[in-house]
Amino acid sequence: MLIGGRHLPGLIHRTSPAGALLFHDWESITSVYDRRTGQTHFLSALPTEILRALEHHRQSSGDLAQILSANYDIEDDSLWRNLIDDSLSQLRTLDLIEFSPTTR
Amino acid sequence: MSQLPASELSRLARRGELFFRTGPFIINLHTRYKPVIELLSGLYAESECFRTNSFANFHVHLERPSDVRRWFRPQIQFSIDSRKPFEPFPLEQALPLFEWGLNWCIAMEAHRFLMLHSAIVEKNGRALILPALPGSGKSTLCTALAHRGWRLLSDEFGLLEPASSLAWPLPRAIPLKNQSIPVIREYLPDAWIGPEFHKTRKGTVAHVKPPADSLLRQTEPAKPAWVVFPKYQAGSKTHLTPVAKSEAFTRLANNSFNYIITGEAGFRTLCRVIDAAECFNFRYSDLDDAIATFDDLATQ
Repeated sequence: MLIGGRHLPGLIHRTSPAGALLFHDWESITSVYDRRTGQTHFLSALPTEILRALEHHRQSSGDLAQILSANYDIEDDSLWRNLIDDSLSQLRTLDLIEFSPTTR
Repeated sequence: MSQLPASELSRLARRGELFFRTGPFIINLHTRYKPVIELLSGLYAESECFRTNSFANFHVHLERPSDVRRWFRPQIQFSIDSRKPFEPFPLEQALPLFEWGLNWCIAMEAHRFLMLHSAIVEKNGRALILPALPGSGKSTLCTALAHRGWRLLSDEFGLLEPASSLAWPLPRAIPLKNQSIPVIREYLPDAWIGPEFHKTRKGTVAHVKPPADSLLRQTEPAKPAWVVFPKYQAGSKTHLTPVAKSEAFTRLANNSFNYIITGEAGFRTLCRVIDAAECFNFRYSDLDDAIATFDDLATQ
């Protein structure tokens, strides 16, 4: 994952624990209610699926890219990795994920 | 209220023994100011009224100050449970003060509901939610619908109950402002409209009595079936266009008085309501066309 223009190793996890996020899917956007903060977020498909993939386990950005490329049947190439990184940036800005530099 | 003579209502109010229902709330009104009692007894003639009651949601006092402002440019003060949330109003504006004051009480306290800033009317058990937006003409449109076959649930507060997602009535007098007053006088010559109050903080205001049916059925909720965002535009054709549910959810959450306070319950309630409702933008200039559009919606 790119942070400040540099790729960093490590794991990503949700700031809210399992069960703390409520998801409601609309046509192309998902409303996400965070029980931890009381905030409601409106996310497009990819950030939503990243949050769902992080429900129970920490993942690296590479693992997330592989898991979701299989789910969406999309080639796991550099373009896909950039989309993943953009979504992770967005989620980090919203305080929905944290970066942990430790290994599992 | 209409079954008690005005003198009896005044006596009860003077002694703090006047209790009446407005939607899910019981109001206990203390006042010695007879003119406001006379107006309220007309506006809410069919409302349930009690001589005594063991419980009231709001204990409202509407009294003239005991100081020089009792006689010199006389004023009237609204207080709720011994708190005075507003500056006194001119005495002749006692009714608008009571109505706005009660709105404030409900907005501050009634968090067992998800409260929308919207009008709601009902037909055949299905509720039409009309969120209030600048330039929407909500109150004018709501008044017209309420006098043309739709039951008024509320002009100001859309009360959604989290447990059921039903819309609960709160049929209060509809405050028309400025130019909307002559519009409604002309469109609905038989409507019960109270006196005009000039130079209020919202300009000239007059209150339309809720139709009798809406007061007699003010404990009957309704299931939201439509969310329609109205916009009055002079000279425009009537136009009803679908809105994506995601957009309707966002706009309604922002429109709510207490979405954040209600937390998860508010989120779940709004999701259920939007899931079940058809959502539209609505542009209009003609009240007859507007009513015909909604009547057509109600038959589908």
